[in-house]
Amino acid sequence: MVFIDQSRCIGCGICIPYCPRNAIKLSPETKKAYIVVPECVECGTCVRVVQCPRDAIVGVVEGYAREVRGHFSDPITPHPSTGIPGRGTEEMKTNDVTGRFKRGEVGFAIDIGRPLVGVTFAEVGRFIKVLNEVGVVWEKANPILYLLKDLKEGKFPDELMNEKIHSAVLEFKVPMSRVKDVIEKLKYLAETTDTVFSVGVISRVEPDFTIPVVNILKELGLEVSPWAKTNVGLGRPLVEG
Amino acid sequence: MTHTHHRVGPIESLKKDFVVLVMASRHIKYEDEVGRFRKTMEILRKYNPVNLGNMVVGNKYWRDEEDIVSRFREHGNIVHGVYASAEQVKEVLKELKDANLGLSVVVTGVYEEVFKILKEIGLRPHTINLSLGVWGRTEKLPPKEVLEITTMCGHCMVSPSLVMKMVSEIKKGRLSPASAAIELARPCVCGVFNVKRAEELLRKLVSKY
Repeated sequence: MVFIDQSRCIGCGICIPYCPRNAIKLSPETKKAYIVVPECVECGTCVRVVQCPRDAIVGVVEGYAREVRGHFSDPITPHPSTGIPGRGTEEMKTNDVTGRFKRGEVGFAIDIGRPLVGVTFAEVGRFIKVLNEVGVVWEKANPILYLLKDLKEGKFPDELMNEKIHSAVLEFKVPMSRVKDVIEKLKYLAETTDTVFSVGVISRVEPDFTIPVVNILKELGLEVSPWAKTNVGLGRPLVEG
Repeated sequence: MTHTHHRVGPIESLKKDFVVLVMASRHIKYEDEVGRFRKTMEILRKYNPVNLGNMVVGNKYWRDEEDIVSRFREHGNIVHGVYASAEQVKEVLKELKDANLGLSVVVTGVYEEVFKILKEIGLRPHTINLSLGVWGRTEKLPPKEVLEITTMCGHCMVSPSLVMKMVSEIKKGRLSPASAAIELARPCVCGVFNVKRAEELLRKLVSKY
């Protein structure tokens, strides 16, 4: 848990704007900075970046729940289940050598809580339960699945349910024919959630540079951003299929 | 981990923003992975990236650049170079192709621009991750001009309050837009924050607020 050593803090407030969750406040009584613990997601930004003139910002790991917050909030902490830093997996970034997403399949990366709003595990579990209704194929290496007690019901251990994290990426794939069903569920989740989520759609690119899923998304009335991640196929040995 | 995804802003601004990510899959055993990444860094660095990152060390505005280009773990490395022009990306990709390092390379940017570069140098896109933007309670988000800056760190380490603090510092004459952009890049530990684009966006914010 990160805390501000009250015996050192001089109340200069230099740390306050750095917190992406606005969890650092200045006490009107003591005139010193303090961290609102339930809002802090253990992202580590204040410890790493703030040049506190008194070195008053202290980070210590304290308890399982706070450690898990850190895994889903601090990008330089490798997750035990994936071995890579961040909240997701290699996803499409290494698809040229892993072949995780094949032609005719469409992957989804749903980043719940992002940007900047955050999410509880209880809400992540609700997303999982709703998406299970369309029979998605979950990415087994994803850190979220590693924590689940019950995948079908989207249940996490009780001590985690109300823990808040910066964001959680849900990764799954479906056959191209099921894209519409997934989008319908996402629209329902957008109407009923109390947070935000960013939607990524993963597809193989055809040899003529076309992307078949784009037409499906446009037929569903969705706007596809011009901004995207492209795996340029330089990995070896190359998976073509 | 969608740390370079979902950037927002006018298309002309996005066209000046590219992230080249090079990654070793943990499912493959590369001989001399460290040597391959040292060569990768040599190439990324040669074309004047506006930011450089190594997931073992951090970004070039927070850590020593010599460490960034030389320190790697035995397996599972990830590095990034950020560029402000298509020409630079074209040169980087040409060299990465010729070097034939076998590592996975992902370019994030306006994908039609990226596809154009790939065609020119004889590469083909393998897989794409498209963005459908942000859904749900979008009224909880900061103003869009602030999001244009903060989304350049997909892990959301750059705080909207820090953006506004930098705007205030520029207005008071305490910081230049370039210095303020670098301060904003420091929390983005992966090194994917485009400081050049941030500088331009900060200038616009200063005139608005």
